[in-house]
Amino acid sequence: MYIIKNAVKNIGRNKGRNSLMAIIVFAIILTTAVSIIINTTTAAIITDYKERFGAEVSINAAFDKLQTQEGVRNYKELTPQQQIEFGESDLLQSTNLSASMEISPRNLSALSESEMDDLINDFLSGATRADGTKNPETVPIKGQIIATDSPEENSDFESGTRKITSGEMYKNLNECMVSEQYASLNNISVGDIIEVDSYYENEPMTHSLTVTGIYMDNTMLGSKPDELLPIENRNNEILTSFETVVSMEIFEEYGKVSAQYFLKDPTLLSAFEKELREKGLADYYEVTTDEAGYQKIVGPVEGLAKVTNTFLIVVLILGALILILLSTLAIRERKYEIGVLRAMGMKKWKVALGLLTEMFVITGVCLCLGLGVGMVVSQPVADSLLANQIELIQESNTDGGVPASGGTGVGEAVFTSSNEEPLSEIQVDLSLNAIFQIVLIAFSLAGIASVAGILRTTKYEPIKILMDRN
Amino acid sequence: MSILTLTNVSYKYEGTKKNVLAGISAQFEPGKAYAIVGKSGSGKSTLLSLIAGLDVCEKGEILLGGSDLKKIDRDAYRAKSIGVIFQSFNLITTATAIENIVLSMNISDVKDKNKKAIAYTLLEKVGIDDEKADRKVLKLSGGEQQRVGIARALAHNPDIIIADEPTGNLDTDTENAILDILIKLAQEEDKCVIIVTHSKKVSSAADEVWGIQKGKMHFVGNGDK
Repeated sequence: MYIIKNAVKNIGRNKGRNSLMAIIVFAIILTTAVSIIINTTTAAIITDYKERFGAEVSINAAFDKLQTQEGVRNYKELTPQQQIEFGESDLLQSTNLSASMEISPRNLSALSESEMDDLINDFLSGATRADGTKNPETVPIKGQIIATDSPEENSDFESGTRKITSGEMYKNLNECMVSEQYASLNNISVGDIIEVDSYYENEPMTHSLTVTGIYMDNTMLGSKPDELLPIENRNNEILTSFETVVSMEIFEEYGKVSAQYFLKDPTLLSAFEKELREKGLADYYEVTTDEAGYQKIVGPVEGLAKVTNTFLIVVLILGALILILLSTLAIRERKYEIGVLRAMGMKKWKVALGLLTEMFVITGVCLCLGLGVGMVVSQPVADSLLANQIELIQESNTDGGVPASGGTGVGEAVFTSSNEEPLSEIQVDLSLNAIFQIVLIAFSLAGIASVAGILRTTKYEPIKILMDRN
Repeated sequence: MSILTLTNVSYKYEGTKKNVLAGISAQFEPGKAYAIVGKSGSGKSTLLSLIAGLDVCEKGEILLGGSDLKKIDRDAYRAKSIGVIFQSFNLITTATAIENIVLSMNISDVKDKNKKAIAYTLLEKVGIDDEKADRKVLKLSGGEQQRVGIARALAHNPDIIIADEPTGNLDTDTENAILDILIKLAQEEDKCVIIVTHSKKVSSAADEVWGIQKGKMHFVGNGDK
């Protein structure tokens, strides 16, 4: 205990030397604190971004590969089954599957239906073609089924363009929702069962759905239903789950799937492409990721993290060297004092403990100050560095830009992140993790610096130290 | 009865061939003051550093109550069994006189709770009043610093006091005072006091005078007392 007390007293006894040491330790801790505070914040932002958005993958047939006759002949659209299978990968963070299917419910009327549609349909249905074959017998398209695999994340309901006015969102197989107007037109209530059919009259496929909810579509307010085709009128859309639509017999023939794939990390793209090729993805499909979009949004923050990381490494290396040098000089200066203590019978480890305690007390005080000042300073530093990074990213993006098409299809990829703005501000935060790292680094540096000097001095016998001095 | 026995003690410094001390044997008893005299470089201080446990002899043995210094914990020996007074004082200069004494007690693991009071008493005994006791050592004169050095050597009540030219840097009046303190330690407190000195006055005051020459130690005679 007396060693600790004596060490604390010693700090006051050598004010000049310890003040210099404290200033340097404070400077190192401050810069370390700022770097780590920014670093932990940026790391959390990047992780959070990746967790929330992943990295969107696009699977699109390349135009240039389809321009040859052979290319056109071989071209096959991705089947719904393929798209569903592609989504079953460990490399993906999430998959958004949606489906649509045109329908012609025989027992239900559609909004925007007109006699003209019936006439055209009658004209085309069963007509003889130029090659002598006959068109199949059809009925007019009276709307479509829209299905998503995660109804709770349905963007229309999330954004408020659609709102449930009665009942609830479908949850189970063979449940659906219809619009207020559609329900009114067909006298449908929550709990009713409706039948949807394919538009091939000669071989109709029928499926029954239970209505669990009725929605209102705000985008249709003020529009003129008479000027729209039934397929264009959003109030004719029957909403159901992806699972339901996939289980329909009609879907196998006429359903269309749209898939969005989100990788856990953009760097997994090549592994994911390899997996897709193994699952049968043709060569004329290109697998790309929204690297540019990711860079556009998170790039500045990643740049900021790189800058602070580099800065931190430089500070730690320089700081450690300066501290070792200072500590060695300080302990050499105190060689005589150490010799006296050893001559009085103090054991080496107690001498070392005293010296370490002095350094740790100085470090502890500087740590408290450094954390406080670091917290205040790190926000403006982060803002300034981030602004520079955004400028740099914008400059480098002027030539290429963000790709313009996504999901699955033909042509250039368009990603959902294309319209996102870069992260232009971060709120730095002194997290427990940051505090732990700063404390660990500060005391490690102090320990390394002290030990370097202590080892040098305590290896001598006290008589040697005293004789050198005398 | 001897408290400290030297048997055939030899020593040479690293990198040299010549023995500074060559087969020295002697016995030191409590209640006596010994003066060790000799020319500069004769090995007086070397002998003292061996007795003080600051270094170890190459050959021979130094026995403290039958235990060889080479085989015991010399840190503990220095802390508890002996008190050393240096010519150049060797005090912690940034600390006060009282802090030096208390620190020495702490190192020696003195159990008394009121160490500070004991330290003031010790300093008073060697002629340092309370006001000076609270001064930084560097603000004391050479004689006062040596008195602090003596008080520190006595702080843990050792049986053996070793002094390496304790009056070498002091004026005559102070030399007399310091010498008086050391001789009294032997006579009144039954300590074994071993003083390395060039001073005739000091050797005259000792009970026994020993001389070192060419690495050997010879009994010179008894002091004037």
